[in-house]
Amino acid sequence: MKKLIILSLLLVTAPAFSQDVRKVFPEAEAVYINLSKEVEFFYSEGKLMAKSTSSEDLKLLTDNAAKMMSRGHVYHSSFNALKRWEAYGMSPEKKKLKIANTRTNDNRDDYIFFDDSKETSFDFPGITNGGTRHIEYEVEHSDVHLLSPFYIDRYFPVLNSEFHIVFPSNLKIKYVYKGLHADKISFTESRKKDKVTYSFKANNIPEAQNYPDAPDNSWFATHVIYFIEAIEENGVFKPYLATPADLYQYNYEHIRNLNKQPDEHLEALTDSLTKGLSSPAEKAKAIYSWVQTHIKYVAFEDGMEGFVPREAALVCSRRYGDCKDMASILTAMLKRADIPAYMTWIGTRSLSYSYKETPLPIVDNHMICTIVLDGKYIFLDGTDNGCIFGMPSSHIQGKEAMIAINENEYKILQVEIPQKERNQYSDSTFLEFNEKGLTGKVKITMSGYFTSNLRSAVSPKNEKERNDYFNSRFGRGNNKVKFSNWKFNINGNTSIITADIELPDYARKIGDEWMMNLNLFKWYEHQEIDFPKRKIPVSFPYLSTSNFTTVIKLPSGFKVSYQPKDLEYYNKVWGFNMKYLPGDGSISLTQQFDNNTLMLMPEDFESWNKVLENLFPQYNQSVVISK
Amino acid sequence: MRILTIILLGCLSLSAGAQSTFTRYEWGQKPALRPIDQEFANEAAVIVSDKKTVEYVIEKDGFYLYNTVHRIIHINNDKGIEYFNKVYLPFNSGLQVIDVKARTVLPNGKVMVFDEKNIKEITEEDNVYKIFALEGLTKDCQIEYYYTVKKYPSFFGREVLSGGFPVMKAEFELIAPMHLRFDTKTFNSLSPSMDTVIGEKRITRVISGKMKGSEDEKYSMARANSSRVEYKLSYNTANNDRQRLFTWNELAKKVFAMFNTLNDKERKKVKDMLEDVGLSEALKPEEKITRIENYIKKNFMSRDDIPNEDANDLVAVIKSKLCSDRAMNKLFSAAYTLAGLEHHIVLAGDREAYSIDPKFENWNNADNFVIYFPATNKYLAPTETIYRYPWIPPTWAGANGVFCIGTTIGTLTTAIAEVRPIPFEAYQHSYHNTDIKLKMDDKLDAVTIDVKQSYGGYLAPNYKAPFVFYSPDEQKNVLKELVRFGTNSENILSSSFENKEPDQKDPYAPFVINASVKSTQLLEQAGNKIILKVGELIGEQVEMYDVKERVSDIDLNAPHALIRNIEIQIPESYEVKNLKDLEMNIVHQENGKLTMGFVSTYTLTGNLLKITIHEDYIKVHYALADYIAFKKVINAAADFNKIALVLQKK
Repeated sequence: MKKLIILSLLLVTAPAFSQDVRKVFPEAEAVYINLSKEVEFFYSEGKLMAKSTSSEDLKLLTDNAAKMMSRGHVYHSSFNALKRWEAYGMSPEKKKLKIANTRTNDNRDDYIFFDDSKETSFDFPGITNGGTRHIEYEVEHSDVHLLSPFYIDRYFPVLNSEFHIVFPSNLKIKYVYKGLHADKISFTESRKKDKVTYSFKANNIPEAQNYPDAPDNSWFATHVIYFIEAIEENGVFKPYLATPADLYQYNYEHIRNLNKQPDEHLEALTDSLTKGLSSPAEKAKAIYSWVQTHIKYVAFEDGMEGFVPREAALVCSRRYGDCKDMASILTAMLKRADIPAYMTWIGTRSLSYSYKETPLPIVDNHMICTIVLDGKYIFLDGTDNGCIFGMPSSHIQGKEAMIAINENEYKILQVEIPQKERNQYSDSTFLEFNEKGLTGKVKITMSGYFTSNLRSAVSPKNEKERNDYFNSRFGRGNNKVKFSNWKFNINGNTSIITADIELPDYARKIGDEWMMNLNLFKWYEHQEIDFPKRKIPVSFPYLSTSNFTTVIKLPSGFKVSYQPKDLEYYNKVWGFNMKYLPGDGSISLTQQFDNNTLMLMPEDFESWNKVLENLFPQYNQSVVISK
Repeated sequence: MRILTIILLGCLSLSAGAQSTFTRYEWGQKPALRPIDQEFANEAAVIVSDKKTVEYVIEKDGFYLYNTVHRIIHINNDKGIEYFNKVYLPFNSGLQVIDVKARTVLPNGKVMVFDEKNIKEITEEDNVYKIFALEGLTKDCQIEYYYTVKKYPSFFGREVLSGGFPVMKAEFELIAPMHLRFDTKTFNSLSPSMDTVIGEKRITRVISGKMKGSEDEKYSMARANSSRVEYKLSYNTANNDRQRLFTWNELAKKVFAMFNTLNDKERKKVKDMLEDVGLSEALKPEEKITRIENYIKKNFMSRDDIPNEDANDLVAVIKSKLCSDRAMNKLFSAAYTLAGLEHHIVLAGDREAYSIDPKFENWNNADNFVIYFPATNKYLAPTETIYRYPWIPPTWAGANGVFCIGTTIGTLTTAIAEVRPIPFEAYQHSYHNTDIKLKMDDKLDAVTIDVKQSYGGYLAPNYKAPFVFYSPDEQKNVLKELVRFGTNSENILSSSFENKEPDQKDPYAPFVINASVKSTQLLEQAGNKIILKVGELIGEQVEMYDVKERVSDIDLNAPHALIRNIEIQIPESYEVKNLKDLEMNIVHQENGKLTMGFVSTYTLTGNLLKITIHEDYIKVHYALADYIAFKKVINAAADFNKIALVLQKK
């Protein structure tokens, strides 16, 4: 890393004029001509604290943007208390415009019932095309472990961004760049007396891309993660958040006093659930299943509530909790059943970080319970009510789990990614011709995550709701399809669903000939990836293998007079196999697809699309059946 | 949007001497499980009892309303638990929470009492809620909670008693001092209210029988169809006063005063603004109307979450260009007044929600501000940016509006109310028409389609909106989707728009998307035959193939037509085997007049196949009795969508 000592701390970048802006970002509706933040670490009454000052100037380049961006927001919470803020508009003639209608609302995520996140918002009256809106605010961070990275990508392009970290020289600060435009970040360092400043700059960052099937921000948005690696005390640097061990010590404080007192009711409940079961696996399964069905997800995350799990006994009597609470009750009950069980932190797949690179609380956002059965580690996620015992919940696949063995000991293990063979989907339709068009039966067999999802979907539904769900989920052919007699059976990892089917107006009869497209499903129609424009990955929920078979019984006296060609096409990314199989008085088509990636990276997009190019003509083939 | 946030304190002589007192609500001390009807045993949850009470009380320091809700809910399954374990109590305009109590009766009869300390308060979108999570819920438990909130009174109200879950019994109670007489009106299967007098209080009660949970039905207006009771204060007999209160005339008077009172400075600023607009005497009234509208809608923006007080100062509004809906309405009204254009303020209901009844003056239902121009007999909606004269949101039309007709009595200028329907524009102007020219490529494995989608009248604004408000990138995605509808292809060779901007010289000119598209998805190979999926050219259609029993009448947003002209060049050496499939004729008439229909015809001249489809919905409301006919028309379109032509070598 190249270090440049510069004397002046804040080199003021001259804002670009709007004609320049237009040159760099011709289609932009607005651009940030300034996006900056300075974080300063300092000691207050002996305690290490941080405060940050952020400021942004958004230049509006269309009438529409001026209207859309007429409301500004500042976000804060108990750990990040808003100390000061100011905002104003600026007319194209550089006249200052006051803000109005300031209000503060709660700002919860959908899945959280109550927390302390707040949003202060305000309007910019009089702001017009060519004007600028300015927002600046100061936030006090009461826990320096919990600092958010500095994100550069925004909804609009960023012309100039700066980020400064100011800290006393007894701190060792580490930083890591992440995201698509990390190579555009430049770094300089300066020292003044015993204060050190790290400065990061990035210019001309295009607006963030947004696709519904993309992974979360942390995977591709450009950002700088920073943290205190060590603190010098009496001439010696003591690790602060240098290694996962340091993070573990911080995390452990949140569970140090958890479940110290036994609870009679919980013990009795556990005993009743495991009574008569001999193997630890059976016991663990029974306990996990009870928590999955009886403890509902309700999250209170006010202040420390966001970090400290609640007592298992309380979770049990309330019958609700968040992920930490479910991990707490699982751990307590499993321990009662003499199964080694540990509280465990984990980052879900929405986060991209690793404990080793960034040993920070931002690496994880979830808690589960880890047990050991026959020397094997099994990860139990109480929040996934469809999860199959023994399989990790799908959103923690491949992630690092930080397992709390005891006060001093922890383990970091990587959760497995169940291979595609574990997640199978097989759908068969058997049809014959009659006066209603086509009638017959369908049978769908699933395993792994397909079964988990089915369990979550059907468990809260009554028969009517379930039938409606099946009707829409398993539709095929055309929207006139009619099902009856739905039956389903979920047995551990496997589920089987069957129904009778009528499919009118699908096959076409001209004279003595039937024409019928056996591709009852065209799942990949319009699934082309926006290549080469798209620069961010596509995320898939799990690896899988699926096949779709249509079998059609020939009317007596008829034979297949035209059978489309088979085609198998695979490249390094994925592929398909379409196979027609004439049988005794029947013909069938099987479509076979595999997905062998959880995250498709931009370099593979072209290959992905190539498969579709080959697939689509296959979709347009009909068999002809004639006398 | 609330036209009038009416602070009514002091507008009534309430001091009829006696004060009244509010008796705190009490629930049974020993709750027990209540039986539920077997009919509902499969539902996620059953509302065993839902009692809503509003009580008007005159206290020493003023006049207040106490709103109490008491519910008992039986939980049948996990979905029920997950729906009811989190409770949100609306506390908007609340002064004080008098009580919040909750408890759960477990299937074994054990009672868990909720600790009030666990109630949290949140503010979302400027609305305040008290929230809490109920503990210990299991299948077959019953939860019970009640709360009482003290508020400043409103003299209009509405309580909806039906909902997504079945109800065993719902009850509404309005309690008021004897001298205040309220009128009530019940809707959709609820019996009328009954009055009783206890001491100095009059109690008006509405009690429901069993009600099924509402079903989502297509072409149905759920809120308008809800079982509900509405109420309003009609008489204050304290001073032997026989005059009816809160009449439509009174509303018209207040509204007229609120929106037509300008001080000199405001008048000057509005006149300055009109200078900017640029109106000359030579312009026709329509031109003046639309110029003013286009100017304001381009330069100003209103939001319903900006406090209404800014309407008191149009000078500031004209400077800031960002204002409340009320200020926007006032600005429009002032601009037309000062431009010398005669207009009336009209307060419209909403067919999707609640309507205006000439005889039952619930001011809360007169919620939507419209301007009517007698000279042209047309309307304008000031706060609806994307709708332009004469188009207003169609659910505001086709039902009554309160027309505030200005009148001068001596030196006093005021308004009187006329309640009458706001008519629709003629249905032929509202359409989604499609013109298609299709040609097969030489290799016969793809088609080139020139498509013209025209959106007219009430149907246009929603299609236009993305191209006005979205970023260029998002616009491209919408265009792709609109073109894909009917071509099943995203392979756009070229595209163009007509009349994309919201302000159009001719308001009847359609918004048009032209595109040239290459599609492989419309063709299928069947040996030596080619299947052309001609039905897909009209796009996937809403279907009503299911056989579920229909509960509600049929309601559409707007009367409209869909005309599709499709021209297909059949390749020289091929002939179409099943042309007759293209003929469809499903029409419905009332009193000999067409009210809806789907008619498809074709001609073949040489190799040119011309298909014409007329789909019409001339009315917006069809009675339940017409459901079968309606379904046939809808399904005719859905059936057409499945038609494919088989092309065979000659």
